[in-house]
Amino acid sequence: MTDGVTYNPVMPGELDRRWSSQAAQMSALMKSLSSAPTGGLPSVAVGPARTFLASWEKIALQAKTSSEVYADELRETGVSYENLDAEVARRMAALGGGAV
Amino acid sequence: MTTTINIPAVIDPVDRPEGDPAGSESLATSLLSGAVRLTEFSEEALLLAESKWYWAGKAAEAYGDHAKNFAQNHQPMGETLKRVARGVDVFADQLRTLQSDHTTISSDITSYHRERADLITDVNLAGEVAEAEIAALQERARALTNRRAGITTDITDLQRRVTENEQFLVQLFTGADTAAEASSPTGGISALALGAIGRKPSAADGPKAMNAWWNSLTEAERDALIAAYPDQLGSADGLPASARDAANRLRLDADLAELEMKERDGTLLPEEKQRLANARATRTALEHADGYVVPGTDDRPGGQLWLYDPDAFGGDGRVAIAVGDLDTADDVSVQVPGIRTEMDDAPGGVDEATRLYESARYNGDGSSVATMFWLGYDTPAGDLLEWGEVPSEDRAADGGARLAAAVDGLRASRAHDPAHMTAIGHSYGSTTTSYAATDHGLAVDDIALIGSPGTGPADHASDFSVGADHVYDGRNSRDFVAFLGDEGWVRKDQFFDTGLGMDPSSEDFGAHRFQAESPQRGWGPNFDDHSRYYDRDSESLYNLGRIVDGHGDDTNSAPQSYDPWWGDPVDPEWDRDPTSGEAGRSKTGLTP
Amino acid sequence: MGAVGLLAFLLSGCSPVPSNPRAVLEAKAAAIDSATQDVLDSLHAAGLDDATAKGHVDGCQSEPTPGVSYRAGISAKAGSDLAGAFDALVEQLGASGWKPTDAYRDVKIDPAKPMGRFVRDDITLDVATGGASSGGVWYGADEMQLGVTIKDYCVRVPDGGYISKVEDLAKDILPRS
Repeated sequence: MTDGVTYNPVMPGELDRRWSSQAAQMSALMKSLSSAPTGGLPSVAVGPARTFLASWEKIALQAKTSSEVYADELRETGVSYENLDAEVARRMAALGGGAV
Repeated sequence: MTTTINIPAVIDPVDRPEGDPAGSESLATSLLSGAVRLTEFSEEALLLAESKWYWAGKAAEAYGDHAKNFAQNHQPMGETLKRVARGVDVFADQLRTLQSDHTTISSDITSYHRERADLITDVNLAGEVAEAEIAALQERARALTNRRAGITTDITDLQRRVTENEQFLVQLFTGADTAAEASSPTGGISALALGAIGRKPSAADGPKAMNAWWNSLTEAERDALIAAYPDQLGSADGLPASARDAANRLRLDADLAELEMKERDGTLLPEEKQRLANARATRTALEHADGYVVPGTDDRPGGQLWLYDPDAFGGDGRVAIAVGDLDTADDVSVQVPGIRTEMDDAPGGVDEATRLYESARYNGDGSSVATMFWLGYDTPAGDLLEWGEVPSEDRAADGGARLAAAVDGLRASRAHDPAHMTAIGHSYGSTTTSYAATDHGLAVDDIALIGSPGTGPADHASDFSVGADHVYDGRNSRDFVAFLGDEGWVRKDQFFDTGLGMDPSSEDFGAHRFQAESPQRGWGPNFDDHSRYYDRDSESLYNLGRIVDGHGDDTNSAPQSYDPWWGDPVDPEWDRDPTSGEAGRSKTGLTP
Repeated sequence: MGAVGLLAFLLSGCSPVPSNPRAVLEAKAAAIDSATQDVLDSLHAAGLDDATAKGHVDGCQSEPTPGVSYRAGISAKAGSDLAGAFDALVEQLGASGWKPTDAYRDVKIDPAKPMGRFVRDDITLDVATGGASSGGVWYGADEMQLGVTIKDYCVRVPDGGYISKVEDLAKDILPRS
């Protein structure tokens, strides 16, 4: 790294582990949203419910991907964080079909 | 000559309100656990953003800023999802009511059609009949026409409510289905609720104002408010018990979902452990109240969670659970417990409430009853048992104000249909009740004090708001705590630091003393006999039941204790043979 | 009663909490269940076969010295001659060691709806006929209703809603087969 940096060599592993765990949380959320039971709703609400669940699944997916990117970036110290948004966008696009 | 008799038309069948309440509730549960996950995620994200202790430098700063932004963006999302979950729950509850109303209307239609068919038959068979018979047929037709109008109104009303309920549900989803809405601080709050909450009075304006506000709202607004703002409604004095119950159950479910998930994940903080224990005790107690059936009968009164405040008093908690319906019961009682009672004792308190309910109904006048275990004040920790220290009256004074406010809230919530109300104070709770009745105009009709260590500021039963004739006392002659009250023997400042007032079983106090002995009583004063007043098939529970049922004049009297100038105080009940399970004296329920 | 006496009472305090309250309650429940089955046998011998028995768990004693208790209740169809059914049962109870007591001596008993209390060892049996009302509804007009309780029924338990730990002891009590 440049410019007077100090870092704790334990740090990357710790943050990486926790961000990975965050990603797993969001994975679980995605799963529960995708299988959320809408059978009990009146027909007029089924469409809006499905749209709602799909949107939140996307929110969870973005959160999961961001968490993975944080984990990756932190694992390799010496990477510029200005690239984070680009990295997230790239990964989302790479997931294809409805990811954006 | 022909006469026309106008028979009203048939009524078309009505569609059953769509949807399955239980199925909707499982969606709500699923969304709620998702919300908990999201909240935990954002809390952890905030912690991870502050990693300055790990490393410093430009890259660290850039990471920190980026991650903090990320965390803050996700922070409101958990709340939004939680609100939607609660809204779905409220929808399900309302759907259940609407489907039940639909069943009632359908059977009304069936019986209308039957009567109509009978009338048509009779008209067709009529042939040559007299004036009187024609008039009778016309009268039936008129009555049937009115009935049809009534049923049609009910149908229109039902359809409007179904539409409102469905619109509420749809708008829950459409109002929170974009990222922007998800991360808004008012995400998941319907426009109806946002509009209505602005007009909510503050608690300081009093329960009548709160009740007036609630009455001014439409059913749809009320449902929306319960879903969006349960924390503000669960303890709002003046609101009907059904609204508080709905709000508090949502809050309880949310606490359990969140804390049990944290427990499973191993992330429960030490300060959250007590909150979880309190929530669990509430759930257990509420299930007991909901499922209770009076033994030997088919009477199932149901439960209401009137107060739920698990963090109060440093974790001791406040809770109140009723057996029966506080909004409609003819007779309502509030039971105020004593020392050492805390929120995790709620299951025992509710069990007492069920036994009191049974006793009030047993051989009663048939009036409906609701008995409420009320732990709304900070009970002393019970040093009395360990160190012989009588607790100070501070908590009773504070508790008295709270009790009076709670009763004012109950009164204001049904001013048009007042109940006969009784307050029952046990042990230190009796001192609390005494403060409420002497200094705060406790607005009940009858007061019973049991196992009382003293009546606080009152010297005589006439000092109480209800008047001397409506004050009752039960004292087990072996109840150690009851010896602490003044009656010429132990006075304030004599042996202990402070006393707690007059003994209400004494002649000097002038209350109606009722029989409260137990065949289990010890040889001398002890603490077990301090706690037998709610025991099933006991003299005390029998008499308390009569008082709650509005028949205090039908209790079995006991002579008051007195203090002759020449010797020690005398309790005439000491030598009487106690009874239990005896009809008319100490039988409090059907035997099976 | 002087100051010294007061202190002595303070120290005698309350009955202690057993180390395993559930076990103590279970033992009492077993004794009650057994006696209940004996009573079902007596009912059968008296010609009253249509009987159901339930064991109930109740709380007893309030905070700060809470407890739990167990009791059993039986309802038996007795037809229109309640007094006859009662007498037939009393005979059987006597034959199996139950002793009548003079409870209810102060109660005005309707001879067409007799009642009585019997004891055997430390079990008490209350017998009532003709039912009673609850909430304005009459239950058991053609029934005999019996309650089985035990001496020292209240088992002390620790604070904190212990009753929920023993609620499962409630049961339907079946006759000995």
